[in-house]
Amino acid sequence: MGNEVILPDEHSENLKTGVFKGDPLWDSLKEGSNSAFEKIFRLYYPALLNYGLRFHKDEEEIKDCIQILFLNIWERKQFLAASESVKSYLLASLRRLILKRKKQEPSFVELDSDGSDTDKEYSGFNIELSVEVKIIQDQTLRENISILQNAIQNLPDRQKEALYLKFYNEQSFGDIAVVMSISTRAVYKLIYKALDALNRELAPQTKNVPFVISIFLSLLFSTPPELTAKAGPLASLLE
Amino acid sequence: MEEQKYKHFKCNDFVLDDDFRAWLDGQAPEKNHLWESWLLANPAGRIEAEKAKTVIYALQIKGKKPETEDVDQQWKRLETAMATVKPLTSESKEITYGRIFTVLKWMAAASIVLAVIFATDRYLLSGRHHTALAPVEQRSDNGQQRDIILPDGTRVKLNAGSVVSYPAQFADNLREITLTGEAFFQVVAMKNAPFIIHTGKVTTKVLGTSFNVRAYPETDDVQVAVVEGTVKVSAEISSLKQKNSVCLTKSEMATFEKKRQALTISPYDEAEQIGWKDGVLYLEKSDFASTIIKLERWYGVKININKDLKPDPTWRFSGSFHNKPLGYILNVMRYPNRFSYSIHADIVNIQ
Repeated sequence: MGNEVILPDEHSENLKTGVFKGDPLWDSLKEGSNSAFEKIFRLYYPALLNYGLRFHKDEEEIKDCIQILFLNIWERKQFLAASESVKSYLLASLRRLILKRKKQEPSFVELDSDGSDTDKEYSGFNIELSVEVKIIQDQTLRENISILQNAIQNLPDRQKEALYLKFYNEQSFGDIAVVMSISTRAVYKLIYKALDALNRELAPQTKNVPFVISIFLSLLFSTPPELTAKAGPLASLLE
Repeated sequence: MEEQKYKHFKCNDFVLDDDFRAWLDGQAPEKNHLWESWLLANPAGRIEAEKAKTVIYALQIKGKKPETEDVDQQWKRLETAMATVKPLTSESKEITYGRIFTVLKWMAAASIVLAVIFATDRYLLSGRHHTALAPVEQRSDNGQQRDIILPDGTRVKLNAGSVVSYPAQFADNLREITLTGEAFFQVVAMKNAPFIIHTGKVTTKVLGTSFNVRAYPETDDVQVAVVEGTVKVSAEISSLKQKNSVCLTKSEMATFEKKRQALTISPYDEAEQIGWKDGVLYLEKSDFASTIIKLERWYGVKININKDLKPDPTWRFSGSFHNKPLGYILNVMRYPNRFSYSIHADIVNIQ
């Protein structure tokens, strides 16, 4: 796909956000409903905790932030704006709170790099990757996955965050833009940059050992390399 | 499946295609046949789809599902705090921009600010009428500040290297907590349930107020500085000649001097007492040893001092540093050539 940015498919984006439009729970909360508030808390707490932990390993700190976030909402419930996506609103608010508090912490991370402070607002987005390697029979696929997972961990934090919101939270580009306080176009850029980087890891030119072996094997059996490359994927796709 | 749609799909398009991901994930077995025949008929697309599959498999992000008890516990905690929060009313609507108003409102409901600097060892709860529940202990590490909400909704900002402990549920007529280190309190007003902070020999009692308590173990003095309102400070003093309790109002500070066993009232400097909340490290005529202790706590580092370095015992250091890196302060301290230092992550060597 190169670096070309494709604009969102309007239809599917609308379908997704439409689910949240005028969320009845949110409306009841605005009217002061205690039980709606509890439902919202219980519904979104897992996603908020999971997301928060990406910024900060200290679970107690994240739980404190979630408490402060919800207490602020409860205090201002009458004046809450109608929210298109309650989830994005909550994630965005939590993100701001965590980053604000992180900034207040006297930081010494920047010191060991000669005081040259990098992206100050941002100090780390940690994702954990898992794959049930056992169930994947194909050796080449397994190795490629671990090469990619390594590459994912080395991506810039903001790209990792966008990938997390897209593939773990399964949010739309528009929702991710709300959460990260950037434009939808910027979200596309982050995600495509990340995916392009991963694509480059899969390109045959890079030191891809299994591929070299497959060339070697194909030379042995005097089969054109392309053919092996094609036969392999098909077999594993249809596994 | 719209076969035309996929004709020119590249790897990234497949990765971002919800239908493709759902099928890979085994959520759309009814589409197996469609996908398989499409892939057979489109060799170029198949290569891209194969790459996409690898990327999608690699992107299996692990999450953690919180235990039901954790959700319950956190909801209970929130519910308790909610009970003491007065939701903003419609008259205040014009000025409900963000949090500023919320903070002001808290200050108004609770009108005292108090700072205590404290002496000596760690203190335990004084052992009287506790509920059966084990006390909750919250601590902030060196180099860290934390906001905490107590069961009554009182907000506590813990400065670095501090511990606060309190019952999981306060009694109806008394709210008692213990602090080591330093914290800023915004106490929810409750007429019939005084809020008491134990810091060793000094007890601070308020009905509803905001205040700052500093009770680090290494200092010899206790200071209580009030920004607004009224606070009662009592100290256990052995001599009967000395006053053992004082009432403080706005802009006053009480100092308990351990050596003199005396409790006195004086004005105070706001930056020195509560500047830490806004990221200001304040040092006033601090000798070498106490400066090192303060830096270790503020930055969360371990400072090793070469034993051959003999600091001048008359040297004193003053300054107020707003969000400055540690290296900056060390450079000011060493001027012109007092010592040299090196920083390796959280270890600092001074020689």
